[in-house]
Amino acid sequence: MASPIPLLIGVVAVALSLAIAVVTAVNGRASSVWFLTLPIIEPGQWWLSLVGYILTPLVVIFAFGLNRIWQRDGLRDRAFTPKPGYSLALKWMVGAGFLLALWHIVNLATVVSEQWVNS
Amino acid sequence: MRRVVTVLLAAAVAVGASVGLGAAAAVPAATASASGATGSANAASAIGDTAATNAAALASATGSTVLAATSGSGTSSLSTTGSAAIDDVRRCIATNSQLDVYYLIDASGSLYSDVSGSTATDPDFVRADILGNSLKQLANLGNGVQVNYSAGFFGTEFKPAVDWTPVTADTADAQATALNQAIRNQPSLGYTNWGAGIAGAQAALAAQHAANGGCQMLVWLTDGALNLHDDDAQNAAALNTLCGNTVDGSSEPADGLGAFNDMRASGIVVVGVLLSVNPDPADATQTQYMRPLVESSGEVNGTTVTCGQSPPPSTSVNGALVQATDPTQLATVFANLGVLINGGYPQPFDADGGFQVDPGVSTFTVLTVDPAWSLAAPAGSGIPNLTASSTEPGVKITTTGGVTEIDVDVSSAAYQGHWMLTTPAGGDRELYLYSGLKIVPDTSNALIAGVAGTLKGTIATTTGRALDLSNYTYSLVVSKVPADGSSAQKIGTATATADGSFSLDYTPGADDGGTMNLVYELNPLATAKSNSTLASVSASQQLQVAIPANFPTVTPSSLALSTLMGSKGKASGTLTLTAPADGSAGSVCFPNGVTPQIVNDPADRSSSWQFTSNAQLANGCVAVPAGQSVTVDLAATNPVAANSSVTAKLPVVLTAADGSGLPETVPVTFSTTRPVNAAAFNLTAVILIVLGLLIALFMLWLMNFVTAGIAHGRQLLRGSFPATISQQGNIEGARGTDLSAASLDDFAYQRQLDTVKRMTDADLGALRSKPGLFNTRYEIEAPAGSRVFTPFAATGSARRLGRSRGDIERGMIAPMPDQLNKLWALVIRDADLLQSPAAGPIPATLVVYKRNDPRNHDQFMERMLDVTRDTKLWAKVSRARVVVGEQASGGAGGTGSTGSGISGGNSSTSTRSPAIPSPAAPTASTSATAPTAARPPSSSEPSAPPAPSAPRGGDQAAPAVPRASSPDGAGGNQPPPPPPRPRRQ
Repeated sequence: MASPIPLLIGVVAVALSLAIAVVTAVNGRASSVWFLTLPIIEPGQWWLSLVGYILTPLVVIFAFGLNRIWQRDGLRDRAFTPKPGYSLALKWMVGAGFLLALWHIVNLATVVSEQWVNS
Repeated sequence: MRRVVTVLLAAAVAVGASVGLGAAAAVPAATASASGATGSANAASAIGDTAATNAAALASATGSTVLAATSGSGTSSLSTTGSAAIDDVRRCIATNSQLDVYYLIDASGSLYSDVSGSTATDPDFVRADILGNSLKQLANLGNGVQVNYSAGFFGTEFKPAVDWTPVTADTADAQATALNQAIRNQPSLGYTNWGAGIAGAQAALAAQHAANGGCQMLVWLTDGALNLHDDDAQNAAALNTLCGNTVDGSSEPADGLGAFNDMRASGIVVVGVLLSVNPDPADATQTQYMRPLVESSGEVNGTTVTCGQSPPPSTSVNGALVQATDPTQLATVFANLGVLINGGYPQPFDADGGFQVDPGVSTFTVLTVDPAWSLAAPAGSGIPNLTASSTEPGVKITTTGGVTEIDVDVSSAAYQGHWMLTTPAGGDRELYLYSGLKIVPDTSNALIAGVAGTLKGTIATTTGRALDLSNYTYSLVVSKVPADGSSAQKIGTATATADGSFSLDYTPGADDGGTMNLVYELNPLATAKSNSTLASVSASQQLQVAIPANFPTVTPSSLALSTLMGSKGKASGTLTLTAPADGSAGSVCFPNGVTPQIVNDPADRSSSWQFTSNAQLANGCVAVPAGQSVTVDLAATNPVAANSSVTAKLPVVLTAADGSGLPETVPVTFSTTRPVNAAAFNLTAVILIVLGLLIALFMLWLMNFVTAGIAHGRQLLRGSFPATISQQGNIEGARGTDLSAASLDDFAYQRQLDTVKRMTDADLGALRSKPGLFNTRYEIEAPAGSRVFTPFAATGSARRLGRSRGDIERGMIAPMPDQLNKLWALVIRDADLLQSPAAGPIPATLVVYKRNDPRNHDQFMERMLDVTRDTKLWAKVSRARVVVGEQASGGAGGTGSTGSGISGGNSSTSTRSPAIPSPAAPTASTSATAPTAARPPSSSEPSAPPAPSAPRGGDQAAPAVPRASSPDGAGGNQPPPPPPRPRRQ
């Protein structure tokens, strides 16, 4: 049977990234981004956004690929039972991961540009 | 009236009563007022006005209840703000006794049947009757209020109609008729230019205010959306300009807060009247903007939109929007305005129509739609029953648009008691009670900062009747309204004596220095006997609170620092300390140093603020020599940047030469920003986005690359057989060989290998894995001079296959499974492929892999049947034959671009593909001409036709040998040899 490990990795990565996004948004300070005012992370906590950036989309994509490869390789075994649902769920998680990644990217870009201004 | 009475009754019930409720709910916020200072309508309204929110703030300060909040429950067509606007008008006329009403009337084509046909919103000029009747209502305000009116039309442009004209009860009918006729005589003025109309009315009101300084109200009647020549861009710009906000994103607003905000700040109460008859769905959004324009805030398509200052500051008046889908509804709305503005407070009837009039009630008003009504006075009063024909003194009966208004002066004790209204025809009725009280602040009131003072005034009656405060339960609250428009602050509750005089001791601080706006309010107010609620009464007064001449002053009274930008910026400002006016010296002390205390910072940085100043402090004070000024520069920094608006306060003590001190607090406000370098931000964002995508894609490819491989495995057998494939798709052994009779003897064990990414088959050529992002392709690259075909489909979309698709069609490459034991393929030499169809089946070499399964005795037969039963391979072979033939023809045609003529543009294959004769000349293509003979034998690139098998049991591919049919390479004309057994390899 297909391994649920990639799915678990993806779920955990998305959940952690979402948690980081919420934490950064709640604790962020208002900052002008393009034409918006957004609660951007404190400069000293840039690593949180970096972790979020790694979790989504990179780790989720890793899980997506791992699931795909494992399921594909598993088909060599006649007794293998594929789980298309895993692939579909991970596919959606990749999409959600990219959306979350935008938030982390905005935070990281703001911190970088702020350092640029104040340096 | 053109409308049937019953319709009017229904409208009166649906709208009139509800408006009455709504307005009545707002009544306690304020009623009559009196200004003892300026006499300016603007100032009076500014002082006395309590916008709905500010009324709530005032009520909160005084501890009273603001019933206006209930008017937003949907039972009234007036919003909370709208109710407050009526209060504003009432309070102002109680103070000023002058009311200027301007009727701004829509004359756009949509109202006229000769322009809009059947969709005209008011083809019968009902608006003329409505506005005429409303003028009558206003003329009967009473209490000595002088009403002046003017009117103008607007369409594409503004057009004045009636100059300012006084209206009294005696002239009301004539003036109403004149207004009515002016409206009826006005033809269409084209489009709906709100801006032009508002500007025209604003100018007329300003001129009148300069002349008489009266209270002012604008009745703005329109039937639809702003429309300037059907130009959306112009409409958006005009709307934003009126609003003072970018409510329509397609255009920027003009500078300022908008014309409506200007009017509110000037004390002009705007009553917007939307006649929503036959509404155009296309205008639905535009018409929704009327509420935020008039009331400063409202919903447009579910989103709250604000115009100008919202909520209006306490120094501004409010606006009201009334919307009706029927002109008759508007008639009832206007009928109620007079009652509400006069200070009536709604009361319920008993079930039988009875109601109680207590001592303390000066007047009551009954509204009924039953023309056969009768009103019975209290028993023993000696007053006959009142009917429509009664002419009793103190009783005034008027009928407007089917609604009868009965006003009864009950200041006489004989009129007090239980009254009974009878309406045989039924229908709805309303009752309003008036207190007839007013508050008159003492004009001699004067305050000095830091010095104990007393605020005095008198509670009096509006009708001149004797005052008896014992008839009421009340609380007289005094509040101050900050000049900055913030919420009112309660300063105390005054004590009144039996004769109505009251006083309140109050010591203003230095903070109160300058202009001080006071509001006196009887709230709550009710009769003592039956506890019947009456409209609250309020008055306003503006005082100048002086700083004692022996104290220095600090300016500005509120310090606005410059904007703090970033974590390394600085917000700065300057305080000026001026010596006492009496010529003495003084000092300004800073009890906490020159360090403002943060009151509010949404960014929550209170611990990281740092303030610096150049103040020369001695014992915490800055000395101010006589006749001089000292400046103190103040700067704020914060290492944490944020977009925020910060408020702080700086406590100071003004100290006189004699050492006496006067505490004062200087508000400090400034904005902070967290700027970012746009270029750096965008660059970083783009890099991170691209990097995120590239890393992700690379990871996918890498994972596929690492895990890709051709599964070789144990006990793998390989057999190679001379074969043919016919046009019927049959794969048969060459020269009659029975492929299904193959046995282990015809297969050779292959060396045991793990998964490999690439390998070479003696006949098939190179077998390889090609990892992609989402899939790994496995394919065979045909040996030079041959084509390879497999029954497997290529994985991936046509887009992903790219140029490989063409190579597959031409047989240059062939898809294969990732498990070698499932592979079988046909290899056909180019020359054989292009032989004439008439030449019969195409010679080929069949290569079959399988895994040995000793338990299955029929394993070889089953495997070979898998191959021979496949009839679909011919389609691929046939397709390749056509494609290659076409290319060969093209090459022969002299293009010369492909070298050999069959490469199909694939340079990698053109170098190893010999020229192929066209199928049109099959005789030139024989196995004897196979160019592969010129190539050295190779285990990886067999250049010869299918080779004989290696010795049984061998695990190495046998060296390539010529095809059995032409071992010498020339055997096209040789007689066919006997059918051989399948060979193994």
